[in-house]
Amino acid sequence: MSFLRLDDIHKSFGEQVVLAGISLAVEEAQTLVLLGPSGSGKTTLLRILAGFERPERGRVEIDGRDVGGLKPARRNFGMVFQHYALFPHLTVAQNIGFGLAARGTKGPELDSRVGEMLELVELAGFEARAIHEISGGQQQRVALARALAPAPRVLLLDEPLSNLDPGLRERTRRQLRSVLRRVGITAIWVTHEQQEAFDVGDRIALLDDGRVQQLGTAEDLYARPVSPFVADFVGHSSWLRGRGDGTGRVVLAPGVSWEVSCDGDPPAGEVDILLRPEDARLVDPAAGALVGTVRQTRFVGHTTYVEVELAGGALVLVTSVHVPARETKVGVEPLGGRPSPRAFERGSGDR
Amino acid sequence: MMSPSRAQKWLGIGLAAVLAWLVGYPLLITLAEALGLPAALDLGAFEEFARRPDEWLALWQSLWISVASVLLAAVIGVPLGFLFARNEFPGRRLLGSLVILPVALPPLVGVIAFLFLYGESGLLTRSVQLVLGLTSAPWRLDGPGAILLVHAYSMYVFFYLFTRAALARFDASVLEAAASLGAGRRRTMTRVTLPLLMPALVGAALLTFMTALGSFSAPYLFGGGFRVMPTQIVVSKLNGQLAMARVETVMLAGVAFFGLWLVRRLDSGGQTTAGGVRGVAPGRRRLQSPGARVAAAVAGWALALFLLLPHMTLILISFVPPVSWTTEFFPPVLNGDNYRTLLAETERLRPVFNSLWMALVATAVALGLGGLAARLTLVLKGRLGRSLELLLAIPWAIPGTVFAVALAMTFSVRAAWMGRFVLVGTVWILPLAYIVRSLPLTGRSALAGLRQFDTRLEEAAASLGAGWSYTWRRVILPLLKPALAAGASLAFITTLGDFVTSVVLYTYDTRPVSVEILSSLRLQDTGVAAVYGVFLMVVSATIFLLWGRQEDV
Ligand SMILES: Nc1ncnc2c1ncn2[C@@H]1O[C@H](COP(=O)(O)OP(=O)(O)OP(=O)(O)O)[C@@H](O)[C@H]1O
Ligand SMILES: [Mg+2]
Repeated sequence: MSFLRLDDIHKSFGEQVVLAGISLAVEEAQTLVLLGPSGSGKTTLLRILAGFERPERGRVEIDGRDVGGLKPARRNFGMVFQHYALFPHLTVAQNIGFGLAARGTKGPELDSRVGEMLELVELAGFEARAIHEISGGQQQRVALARALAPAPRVLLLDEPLSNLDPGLRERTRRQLRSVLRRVGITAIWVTHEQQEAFDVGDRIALLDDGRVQQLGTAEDLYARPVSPFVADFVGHSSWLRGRGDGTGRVVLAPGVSWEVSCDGDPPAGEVDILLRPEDARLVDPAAGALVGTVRQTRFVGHTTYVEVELAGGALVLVTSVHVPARETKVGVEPLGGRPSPRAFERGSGDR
Repeated sequence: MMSPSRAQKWLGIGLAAVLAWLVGYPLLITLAEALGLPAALDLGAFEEFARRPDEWLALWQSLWISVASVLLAAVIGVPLGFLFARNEFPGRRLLGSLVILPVALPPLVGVIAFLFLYGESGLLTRSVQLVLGLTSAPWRLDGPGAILLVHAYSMYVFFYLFTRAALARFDASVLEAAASLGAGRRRTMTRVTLPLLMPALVGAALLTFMTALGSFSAPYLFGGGFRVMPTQIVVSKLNGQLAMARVETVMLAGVAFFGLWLVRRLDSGGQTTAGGVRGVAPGRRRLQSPGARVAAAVAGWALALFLLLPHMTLILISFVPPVSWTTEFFPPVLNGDNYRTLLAETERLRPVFNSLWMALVATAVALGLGGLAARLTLVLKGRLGRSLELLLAIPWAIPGTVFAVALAMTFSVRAAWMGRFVLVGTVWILPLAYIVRSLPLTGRSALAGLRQFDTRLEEAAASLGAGWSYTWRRVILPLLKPALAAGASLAFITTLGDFVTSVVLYTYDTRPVSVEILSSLRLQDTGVAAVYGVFLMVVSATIFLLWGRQEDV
């Protein structure tokens, strides 16, 4: 039995259906990432969990108990807001102690818990500062400490890093992740960045169109996407066309056939084949390989991306240690020793 | 911001000199003369003041009336601000406009409207008397109670507007943060909302205090034996006790400055805007239960009726022909006689014409001076810029009576080499006084507008080859228009209906509408007084609703 369960959550604003039946489960002390494009309803789902919005339908359960009827103040869900929402008239320590004081904690007990939280987020010595006297990254950590101080049952984070500049973002991400692990709290973390999702999530739910498109580990989403949409959303994807023969092989061109994997029966008919850049290699343009022309090369440090235009006009991105000259003819084939490329029947999902 | 040119510096110095002569100089002259200067330092007049219990009483009554006005205005205005900012109910928008109308009613007009409504033979008083079968009026509209009633009616608007504006700037997620941390409604209100509202409330309190401290019409008409400083000053002056009037003026100005200083100190308590990006303001809660919706609507319309009753009474009385209404519950005859009387006699139209031209001239000059001063304040910065800003602000903090008396004393002496001329008794003194009273309104609006103005636009225009006049015409003025229009409207309304300075400085030829209202009342010509009142009310309300509000909250 999972610690936190969402069951069939529906939510609309006027005519617009934002959530059309969301069901999710999170294990205790794990971090679930809600990933999705802008406007996909991530914040809305989080606000439903926190009790700020009411779903038209569906249940929110913790430890088997329905919390749908509880007001935000009674729910004991901590929340880290996108713009922090720190109280500008209170000091760092007063901000962190706010939730404890609201529950009647006072005196030395309050102070010691606030001190503990300051240690946790590495802000000891900042307790007396006003909010506008600390940096953005520090404000972020105060927001985290404030949410964690009353020992909430679940921590909700809405794009906690989106206000920071890129360099700071990565460092703060690591700090946040390690704090979550140390505290051992169940967390739901909203982001629209795939990198961030992969880094912090034990599991990831990809939201789109009001539904959970896929729920799984980072590896699941990347290597075994259930739809072209998921494949496109996480990592780079090149798409090739072919025709399945019903035995697990797909013919891509006269004399060229690849082994593919898929969910369900081996495809027979038109398919789209997903090729990740690191799952393919460049070979001599001999028989048995797809042949194309090198259009561009992009050196990014640890590897080079080579963009190849195939005979049919499709573009394929391949990583390569060797850098071929532009406009040379090359062959492309799947890298051996890895799972075979995924195939999706034509018309499955919106490509 | 571009750095100031030589020409701008000289312009700044010249403008500072003009403003100092208009604003600072009369106050200094009054202070110096109260101290017996230039002959010799003589504190006799102050000692006389200190010996007289009625002076202390007036000072004390001024103070407590002002503090009580602040409290009353807050008790009405703040909840009203919350109601309109946080809830959605039928008629909210229309009521939202009505609720601010009292602030556009010239004080004297408000006072006579209250007189016609709640006075001894007022509409409501009569009704109650007739219904209950009493032989005399059930209450008397005089003394501190009457003054506070009028103050509460007109000044709650400051609290209402400040509260609404502050709530509109509120970050909703801060409230949600409090809730998610376990704070209930009460705790969120006392620990989060009210502290964050504090700067706005302090600002409203200051504005209310200053307005109440300088309030003249209500104590003058309703006070009877109950004296406050502004009425005390005018009485002293009318009785020819000039030395005492000077000291009283200095004392009242001192209290005003002290109030200003005190609140500024309290206000600088801390920064209350969060760093980083702000979220959006909380949305309005639609009242869900039918009961609550009906209750809100009924309460809203009852409030609107209460707010509009004085206006409606004024209009009604303006249609009651002379001596036609004696003991009846409702006036038996209504016709346009009063309007016809007024239109038929040029002498009676004179005040209307006077008020219009003086208000127009004063507004135009104040707009030019205030706009220029605001601009130079920002361009020059430094000491000169700060002096300009201070000179713009002073007339705002100083009660109208103080200015009127100071101008009367300064410009009744001929000493051209000291910058003093005999203007009292001429056509020029009233427009001059109006300009001084308007300067803070136009100047501060222009300053607020210019502060929001992105100076890079000006630089962009310059880089595109636009000269300064083109830049002003095509870029700066169009963007400043809302702020300037708001400032000019307020200045026009204030001067058009001005009573407090006019009553001290008018001459027969320049008598404005407000003074004429008073003399009509004295001649028992209530109908004509009401017509004048309707004129001021309609013009003021129209201008205020069209241009008076810089931003729609
Ligand atoms: N209070 C509201 N009233 C009306 N529509 C709303 C409201 N809140 C959200 N929406 C709409 O619901 C949709 C989902 O919004 P939501 O904020 O949940 O998206 P999101 O996934 O968090 O997006 P982002 O990544 O941009 O933050 C949007 O189309 C939004 O316009
Ligand atoms: Mg969002």
